Amino acid sequence: MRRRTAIKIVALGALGFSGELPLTAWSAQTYQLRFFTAEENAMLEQLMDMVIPADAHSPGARAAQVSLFADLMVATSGEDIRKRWRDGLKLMREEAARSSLVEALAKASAHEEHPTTNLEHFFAALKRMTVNGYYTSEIGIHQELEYQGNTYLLQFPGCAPPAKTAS
Amino acid sequence: MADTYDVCIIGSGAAGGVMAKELSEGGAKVMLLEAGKHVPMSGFLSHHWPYKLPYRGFRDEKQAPFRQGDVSTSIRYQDSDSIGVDRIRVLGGRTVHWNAVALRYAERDFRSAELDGIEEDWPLTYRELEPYYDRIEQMIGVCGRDDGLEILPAGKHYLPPIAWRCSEHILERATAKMRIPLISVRKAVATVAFDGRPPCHYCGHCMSGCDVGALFNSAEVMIPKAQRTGNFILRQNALAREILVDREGLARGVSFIDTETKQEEEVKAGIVVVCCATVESARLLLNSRSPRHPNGLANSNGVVGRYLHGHLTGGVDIYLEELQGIRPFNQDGATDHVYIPRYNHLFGRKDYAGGWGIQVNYSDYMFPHHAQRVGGYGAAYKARVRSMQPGFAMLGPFGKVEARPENYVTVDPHRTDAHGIPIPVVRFRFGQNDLALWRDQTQSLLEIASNVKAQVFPNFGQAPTGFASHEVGTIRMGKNPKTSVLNSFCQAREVKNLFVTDGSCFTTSSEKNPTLHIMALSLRAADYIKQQRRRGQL
Repeated sequence: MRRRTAIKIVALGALGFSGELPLTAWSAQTYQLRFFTAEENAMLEQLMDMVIPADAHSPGARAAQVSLFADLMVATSGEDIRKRWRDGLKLMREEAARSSLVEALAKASAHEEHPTTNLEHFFAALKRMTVNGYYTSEIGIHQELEYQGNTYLLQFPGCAPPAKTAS
Repeated sequence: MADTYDVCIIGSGAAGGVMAKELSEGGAKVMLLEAGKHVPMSGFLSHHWPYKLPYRGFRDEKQAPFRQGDVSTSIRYQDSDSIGVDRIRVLGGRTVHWNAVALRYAERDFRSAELDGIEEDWPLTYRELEPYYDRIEQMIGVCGRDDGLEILPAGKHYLPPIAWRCSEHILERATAKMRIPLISVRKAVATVAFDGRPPCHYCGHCMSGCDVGALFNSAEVMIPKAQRTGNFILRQNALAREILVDREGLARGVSFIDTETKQEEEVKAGIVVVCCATVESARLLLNSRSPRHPNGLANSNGVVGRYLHGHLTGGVDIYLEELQGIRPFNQDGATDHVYIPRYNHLFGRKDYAGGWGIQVNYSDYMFPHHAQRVGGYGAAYKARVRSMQPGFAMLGPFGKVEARPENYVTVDPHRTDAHGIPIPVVRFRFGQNDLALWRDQTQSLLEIASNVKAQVFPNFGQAPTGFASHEVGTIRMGKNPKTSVLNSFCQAREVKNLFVTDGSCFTTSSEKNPTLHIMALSLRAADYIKQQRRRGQL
């Protein structure tokens, strides 16, 4: 995303892929889970949709199928990262069993700036993955942020912003 | 390959491209070895939407076409601070993914020993290099204007500057209050049709490869010009293994691996010009050992590989309140439109040498970078991220790093790459001057940010990071034969038919982006080679 920081990541091979990359997007219709179980995926979908829900403006993380993006990223990550996700979802399930998923997520996010417990660290990973998946999806880019760029302009207009919206 | 060439150039980037064009136009028979291959502009992934990429771009997929083979993994860092070097293998070298900011060194940037009491002075002056800056700017097409600043000398042939974004006007009001100049960026992008190149279409993807060639790319500008002379042969997928020498210790050719056939081949040449970039050039010389050069080529003083440095970084993201909540509009542009030249020297003496310049808005506008930093979750969080996004601006400073002998590139004889060539090992630690400069730089950035109404997120931690793809200095030129390898024409003192014209030839660095300086030095070296050949000296 930002090359000057991204170039520090040199050991791509260690992340589970090397050489030729398929340059076509995966299709959600045909996507088979590679790491999460169906049960884990269902819970992840719920959690991600709580982090970025549908609202009057646009659909949320569930509609954007962010959990499938998470599955691909985690499946192609190292052993330690895969374990953290599996353990984290288990922790959330146990916490939710004592109260509810809503309360479990609230507890996990309580010290977002300085997470200490495993549950709190899991929230950080969950939010990062949700943000990364949602705002790079068609829904996130075109419907939620209404991004107007990635196009060909004949000239740059300079500073000619539209008026503030009423919201 | 029995043919003998007048010149063998290794590497086709900023330095190798201009060298190839100049020498072949001058009538020399030139062979260029490029470790990568041509990725045509139609093969760039710059305009691909993230959701069309397998990992949405988070694993640098847009750069994958430039990172052939094991180039990303065949390197080792040891005992180093948080730095990274940028190695790619592609025709055009890093000019395929540079941001194209094109700045001249100022007169004082050549004289840090005399003026600041650190490092060594360059063996040439601004006045000596000025005509080459003039010529290279006209070859590559640089937009901007003459702002009348001593710290940033200007040329006379700039293309029209790029119109400023709203955020840049707002930032300029803040810097003006602080008496810090903010100017139109000087960048090698065609803002009007130039030399057969179409004008920029303002997509913001400069660093993923310009798919129309509005941005200067050596592969699309210099290499075709060399090819039109009929004097030029290009070998792609040709990874140099060793520079070969004759009994007198002079270069006689280059041994290379064809990375597709895996066969080792040889090219014979009267002159060898090394343009593989700072890490690979040092690696090549250190891997070129012979009885006459037991420590590596032109390395009897042990300086080859030493004095590695680059730029230190660490900026801030700013979300301007004035622009928040606005209906989304297209701000992509040509990445940077403005630049804040070095200013710390305007405000009294410092307890460190050097300064920093600030690139503004060299980032994409598609992804909401603040979404990781805005607290909370749920509907309110989502709405807040959406509302802040149009206010995005970014200050990205590049600070001077001192050239010190204890920072180096070496080779690991026990670990080889996929082709059996010993890999480079990088060792780098920031020094006291670097740390003092970095502390002042971060304070100053926060002060600028505090002069606008905005939410501010620092992109730095407790220590500096580097090198912003600006690593230089490992085969330095200099006045002192004990502490340098090259003379001011990029010619090796110990091997008169060996030249090194990429960033590794830098004596020291200023805060300015290195590429225009590299190209001017390479152009000057090309003139010298032509002159020496005419006189029969080479």
